[in-house]
Amino acid sequence: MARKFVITSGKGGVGKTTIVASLGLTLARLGYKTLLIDMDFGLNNLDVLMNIENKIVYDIIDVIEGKCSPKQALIQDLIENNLYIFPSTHGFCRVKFGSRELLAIISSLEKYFDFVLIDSPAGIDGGFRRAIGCGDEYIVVTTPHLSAIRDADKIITNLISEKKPYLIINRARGDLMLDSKMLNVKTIINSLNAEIIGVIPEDDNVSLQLLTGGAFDENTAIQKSLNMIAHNIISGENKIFDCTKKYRGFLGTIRKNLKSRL
Amino acid sequence: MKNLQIVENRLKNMIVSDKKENPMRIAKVLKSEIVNVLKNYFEITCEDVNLDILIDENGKYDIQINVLSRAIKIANTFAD
Ligand SMILES: Nc1ncnc2c1ncn2[C@@H]1O[C@H](COP(=O)(O)OP(=O)(O)O)[C@@H](O)[C@H]1O
Ligand SMILES: [Mg+2]
Repeated sequence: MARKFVITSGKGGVGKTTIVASLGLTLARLGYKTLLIDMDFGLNNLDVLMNIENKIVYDIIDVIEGKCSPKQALIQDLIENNLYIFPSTHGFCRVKFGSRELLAIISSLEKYFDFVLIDSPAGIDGGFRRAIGCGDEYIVVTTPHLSAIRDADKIITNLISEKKPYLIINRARGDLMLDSKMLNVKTIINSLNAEIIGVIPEDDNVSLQLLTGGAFDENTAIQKSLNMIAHNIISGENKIFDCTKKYRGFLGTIRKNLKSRL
Repeated sequence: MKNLQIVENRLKNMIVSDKKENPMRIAKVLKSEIVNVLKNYFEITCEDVNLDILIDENGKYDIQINVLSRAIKIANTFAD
């Protein structure tokens, strides 16, 4: 049976879809069969991010209506053989469905996979609860910004789960944290009742890289942070990427000052 | 430095005040109440109770409660 993670957040635009895509690529690259499911119906863009929007034959509605089996709807990633995407539906939903239908689909597919990553909508409405009903482990994503952390806390309190939710802090800027211009990782961790599983740095290449060429280069900071998250998920350890390291010491201080002048 | 301290305090205040008005916390409380009632009749602990609140296709709450117990309590508990 696969481990099923729901990636969620209180605030939109904090990087859930980006993390589902890039963490999926990372796990697949490590040899784990990974399935990505987009449950942000209507606002779905995982297919675009994965570059497969033209390869979709059947979507989730076709599966629910019985036009094809869940397995037939799966699309294999263009680069990583171990990675599959279960396509969502664009725009208007012809049929209504709840967690029960989604759970049936997932339970018929999970035997083929090691990991299932579910991209959930932001907020605490029906769509969110439908998505969380489909997983058994939760990853709450926040950025270091006040409103995102506050909304992350709301999500964490709303998660009815045996297991403490995990936390990813995305778009962390080590230079600003060192200069006390951004809430630092420690403060965020202390504010939220979740188990930190990763810190991902802000990276200008994020959107373009994923849209054009799959995973990031192994030696980039962002890929190192993703590798650490994958490692933590697999091993249960908790090694956290240090986003301030690059800006400490003699060279680091020069780097930081140069960046603040930009 | 000072500004960051102000932001940290605002965060703390927000989180505390948000918690006072949280409807879904009901699930956690509900679970412990169910255990309290059932343990008069069955041998159970909190771990034996599975509580799920799902949303069905009509947007209604689908409250699923599943309880497994090893044994029923003997009659003398409710003799009187
Ligand atoms: N670590 C990062 N560094 C830079 N930009 C990022 C990072 N993570 C996400 N983004 C950008 O933020 C925007 C929102 O991300 P997205 O994954 O769509 O958020 P969500 O799914 O939570 O709404 C996108 O334009 C994405 O490229
Ligand atoms: Mg998204």
